[in-house]
Amino acid sequence: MKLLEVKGLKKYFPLTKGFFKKVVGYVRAVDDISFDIKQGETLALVGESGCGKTTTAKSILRAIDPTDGDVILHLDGKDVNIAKLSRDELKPYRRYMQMIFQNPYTSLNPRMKVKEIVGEPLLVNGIAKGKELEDRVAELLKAVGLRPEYMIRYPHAFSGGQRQRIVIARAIALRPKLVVCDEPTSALDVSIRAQILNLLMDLQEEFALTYLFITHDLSVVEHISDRVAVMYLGKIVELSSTEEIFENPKHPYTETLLRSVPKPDPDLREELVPIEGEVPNPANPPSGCYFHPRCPYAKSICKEEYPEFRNLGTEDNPHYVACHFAESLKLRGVKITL
Amino acid sequence: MDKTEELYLASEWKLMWWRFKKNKLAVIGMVILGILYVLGIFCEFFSPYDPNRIFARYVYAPPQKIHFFHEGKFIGPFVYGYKMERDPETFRRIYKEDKTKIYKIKLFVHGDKYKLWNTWESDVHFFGVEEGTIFLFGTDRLGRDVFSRILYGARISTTIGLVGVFLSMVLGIIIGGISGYYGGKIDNFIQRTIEFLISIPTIPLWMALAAALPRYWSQIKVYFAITVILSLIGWTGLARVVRSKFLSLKDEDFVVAARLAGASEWRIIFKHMLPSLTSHLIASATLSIPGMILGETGLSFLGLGLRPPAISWGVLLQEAQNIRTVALYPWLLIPGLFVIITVLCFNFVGDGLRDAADPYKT
Amino acid sequence: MEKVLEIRDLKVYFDLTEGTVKAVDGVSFDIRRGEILGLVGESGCGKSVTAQSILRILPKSARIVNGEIVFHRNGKTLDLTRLDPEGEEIRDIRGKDISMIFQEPMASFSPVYTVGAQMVEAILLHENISKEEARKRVVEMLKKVKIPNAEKVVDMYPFELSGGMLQRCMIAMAMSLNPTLLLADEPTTALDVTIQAQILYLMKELQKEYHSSILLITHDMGVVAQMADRVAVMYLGNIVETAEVFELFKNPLHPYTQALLRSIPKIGIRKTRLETIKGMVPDPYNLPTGCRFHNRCEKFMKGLCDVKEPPEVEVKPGHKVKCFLYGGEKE
Repeated sequence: MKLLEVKGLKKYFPLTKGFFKKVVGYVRAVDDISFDIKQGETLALVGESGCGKTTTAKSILRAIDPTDGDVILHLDGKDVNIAKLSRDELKPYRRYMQMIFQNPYTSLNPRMKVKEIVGEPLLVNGIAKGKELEDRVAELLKAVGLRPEYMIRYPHAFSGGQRQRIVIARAIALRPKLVVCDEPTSALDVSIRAQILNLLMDLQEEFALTYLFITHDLSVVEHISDRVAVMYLGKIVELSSTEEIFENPKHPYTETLLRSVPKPDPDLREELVPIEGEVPNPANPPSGCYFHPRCPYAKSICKEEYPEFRNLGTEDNPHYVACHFAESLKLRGVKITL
Repeated sequence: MDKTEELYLASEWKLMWWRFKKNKLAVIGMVILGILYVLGIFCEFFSPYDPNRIFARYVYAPPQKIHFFHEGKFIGPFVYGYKMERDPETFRRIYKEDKTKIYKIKLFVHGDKYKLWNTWESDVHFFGVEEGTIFLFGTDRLGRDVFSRILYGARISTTIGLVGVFLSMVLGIIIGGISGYYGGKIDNFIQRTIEFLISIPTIPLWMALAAALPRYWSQIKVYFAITVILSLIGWTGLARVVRSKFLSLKDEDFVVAARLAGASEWRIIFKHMLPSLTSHLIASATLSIPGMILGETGLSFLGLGLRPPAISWGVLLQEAQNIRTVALYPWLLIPGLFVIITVLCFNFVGDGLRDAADPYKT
Repeated sequence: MEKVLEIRDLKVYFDLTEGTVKAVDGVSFDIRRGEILGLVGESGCGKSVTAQSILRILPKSARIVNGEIVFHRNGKTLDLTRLDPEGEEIRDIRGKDISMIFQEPMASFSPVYTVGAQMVEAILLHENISKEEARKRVVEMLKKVKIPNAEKVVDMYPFELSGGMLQRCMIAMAMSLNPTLLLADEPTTALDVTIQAQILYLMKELQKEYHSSILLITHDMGVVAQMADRVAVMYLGNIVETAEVFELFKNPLHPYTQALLRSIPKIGIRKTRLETIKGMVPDPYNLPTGCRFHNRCEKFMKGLCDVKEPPEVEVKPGHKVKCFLYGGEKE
């Protein structure tokens, strides 16, 4: 049961020069990507800085407007193309998609009490006010593990982990269907991350949520997601189930990511031979396959033609890759033990 | 409630106030300003004399010192009377302290009649002497009490800044807000206009506008016209600050979150964006008031702003425009001292507010 | 093995208006020649403050209340805590004998000077050579840290370079005078994962070549496992466990170390629920009595752990712990 279908999503930022702001080029932050998310699942969107994952999330949520493409939300029989609605038409559908932000220090208005922050979605959608609002906020705070009495405090009274819980409470206030989590634990201490990840997983079960989980931390991905999409410079280079991505990666970039993560086990101190080079400038991507300058397996065709994004798996268990040599490369993955 | 709990429940204003309190200079400045404003608002009550009352016998009299001891004995606060003498060479009047005339200073004395704010009649003054004279800052060329005139001047000089800044703020917030909120071409246009405006030299512009005011206008009309003139330039600074704040706030996470929750743009502007500005606006406004005060003082001093019989510190300083006056009757410069103190205090308070206005510092 | 730095019972307190924060409260460890010591802990545990104390770059509100930082140089020892923080002696040591690299490369370079100019300055502060000589050395160092087009990069401004490149420049600057000890404060935390791998690899190569010692400060257990020879685990101003790296990961003794290792999601191991460390890091103005970890510890022993602070016990040669589970009740 698909909840969200993204088709050909594009977000280009114009580059201007001069006094009259003439457009001289585009930064292709999100460059024609397509994927689906099934009801109740967690899809991880993985990549390094500049790959376009946050822009993708913001475009899907219409926090920014996409340049092109469709974002279809399936709601109890009705299909709505979020990308093509006007701002006014969009309003009644906002409640179905919410976001959890990365930085718990900038995502809460420091001048509002927790009660107002968590209650705002309910208030502006006319769902509750006054005493009823207070009760609902209390329930939400309890659901995320905070004491309801704390609702009279201001954000500065809370630690990073607690603030993130408040952000989560606000995000689920409207009982959304889709929650986009944008690096929700990156800014938190290691021992707090586990708490927040557990909380997210519990809430997913309790409220039947679907997550689009954005992160650069592969160990978290493996833990929380069902499927993974790997992004590089605005394009999805590989998309499959978590097990497949980790144990059987088919794109050289995925292999590199897996091998670059330092593992907390000194016995795995394999000779880290990292790949050379930096992520290229998205305003000026390389020709052909964007990864070719850094790819240890690149051949001449990689410089000329952008590879097709095709399914190397089965109908039921698809494994999409954009690489000319995906069939023949024998890439190293990481064995997953339960 | 223990200290930490108080801290957790403290709103941004409370936090700001606590931080502000720690700045001793700012608090002192605030207290002094408070005193000045009270004196100005109730100037009829606090001044011992009517500011226009002419004491023909005491023209250009120097300030009378307050003494507490007479011939070694403590008799409470008092002033000595004047003894007039003529300098044998210049034939000018010289005033000396006449130790035989003792005028005790009393509180709540009956004196010149007045109408507080043009409504309540009274004749009770905060302090004064029942007989004799008390010119704490001396008299001017018509024998008028400088101290009383300074207090009346306070009323105009300190409030003109407030009205001007208020107008500037309204203009600045609206124009700057539009510029920052919409961005793009509108922003570009407004910013270039602002740059053009601020490149016009202010003093000549003020002078030109002030000189253009019809001579026959009443002092009230002139007063308001001056404030409008002053604020016409003042708004640009605030507009730029507001604009840059709006630009950065538009993409702030909590604003995005509110938008995603379905909040209307009006709610976002008034509930999320503007409150983030208020503390900075207040600090900014406080720091612009001195400019207004100096502007009015300057214009009036040059004869282009308020004119007698209106009383402002600038008008008073007009009397001290020549070297002879400054050399012989230096107490006529005291209004200038008040201007300096007021401007300094506004700066201390404004700096204190600006330092206190950061919500991310705990 | 020969020691390069010995820290003995270091205490650094911060005097703030809200109270006194005992950021470092009795920390002792050594760093040996040619080794990488990982100093690991979460935010607020005092690891950065420890490093800043070594080079005496603490903020004004901090004071070294107790302890010695003994630096071994040319056969002689020198207690760094006795030096004037603005004096000539410590300035002589900074950059030459002990150098430091930081987390945010963009914030560590001045934006108004070229990268090369800043690196040349660093060299000229300690060596009496000509500017041209120094510049040549800078270009060599940049090549050593694998910066492409080193001759061009020398004249570039920090904003023109990416985070990864700047971090390499910072490493080049830090190593340009062949320091005995390099302090690295979260050097890769702000970098992307593939760039992090490059930087860590580079640091290991340089360390082997120059035979310098590194104090590697991080909160990432993966980085520690990859890089360190020995590890010291910090919690709220105390070192709770020190061991050789393989030993620590195979056989963690302190409940905090154990809990920390269990709560990290690791690649290759999929669990349904992550283990967490219960409770929260306490308020720094209101530290728990006795062992600072006792209110979050699974093996908490009432009457003992909340009353006395456990002394350090050497359970095996090279493996020390501060926990009553391993002895020390009598002292």
